[in-house]
Amino acid sequence: MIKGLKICVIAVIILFITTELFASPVFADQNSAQTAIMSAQNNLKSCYYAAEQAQAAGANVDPLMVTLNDAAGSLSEAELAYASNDYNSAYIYAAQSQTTLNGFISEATALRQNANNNDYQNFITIVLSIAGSVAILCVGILAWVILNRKGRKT
Amino acid sequence: MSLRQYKTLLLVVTVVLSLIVASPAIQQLVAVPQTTHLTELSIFGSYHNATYPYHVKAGQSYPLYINVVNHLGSCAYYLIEVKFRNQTQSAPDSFNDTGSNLPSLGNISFCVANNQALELPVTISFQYKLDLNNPYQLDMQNVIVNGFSLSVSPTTIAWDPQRIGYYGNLFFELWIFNDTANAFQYNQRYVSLWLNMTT
Repeated sequence: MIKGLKICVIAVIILFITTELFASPVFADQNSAQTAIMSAQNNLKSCYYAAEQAQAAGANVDPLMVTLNDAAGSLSEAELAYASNDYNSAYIYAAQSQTTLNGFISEATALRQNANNNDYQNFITIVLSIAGSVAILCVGILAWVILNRKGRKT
Repeated sequence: MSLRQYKTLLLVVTVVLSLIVASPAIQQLVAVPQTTHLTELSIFGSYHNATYPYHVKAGQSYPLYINVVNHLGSCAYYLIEVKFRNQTQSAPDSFNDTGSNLPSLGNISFCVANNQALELPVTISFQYKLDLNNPYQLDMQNVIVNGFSLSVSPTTIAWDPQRIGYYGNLFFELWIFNDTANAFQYNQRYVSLWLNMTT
């Protein structure tokens, strides 16, 4: 009976320790929180740069801005948590910011390439329209000259 | 119809047709984007208007809304530095376009697309106590921003006999990310609230 009770107690202790180990939140110190924040800041800057380039190419970056703002919001929380000496939260929020930006640069690059393709198509359209316009003018003037000559003959 | 009329009609048709065909190119030349390159920064009180907190109590929360409108012609990455000062500490200078020397209590970063506005809700509360040795001095402890307690100690606020109260200045400086410098630069804009810290 006592032996069974002991086993039961030990099992409960082991279960408790295991649960604590695996379910416990991240225990971040000041350095790791600072590193995580710096990494998140750099990542956000890179992503912002990618979004800016996509916009410069003429892409609609509104969906990208939503993602960027989500990440920036998490980064702000991380920085505020760090400033209030809550390093655990700072680390978690910084990691969250990084996760939000997963795949962001490739998405921005794809948008930029699409915009570049559209830009090329627009360029071709403009060149063709100018060429067409010039051709019409030439034909018109030629026809006018011919009619003029006919008129002189008659 | 006479030959002269034919010739006139031919010229008109030629010009009109060539203009129609050239319209995509003309559109590009005519549609020059007009942009005033600036960022708007404003602050509103709890009712999203100019009803700001003035007499504040320790421990009480005050919702504020910071509005940023981007008219820079491209998306922008901003940072707001939250600062608090007493009557004698460094303030941002609108004439020299310089920010305050005080360290930021906390940063709020965000991005705004071109010609878009963003409203940032910021809840503020204060922790302070009257100096037991000097009743004409208030000892500031923390400014709580969005639930995060940021230390402003050892800032003290002296009794203002003219305005009758302990006055603290909460202000938000706008910084903008510069790609070339790879750093944030003060955007020469700030919003500020003078608060009577009641005891």
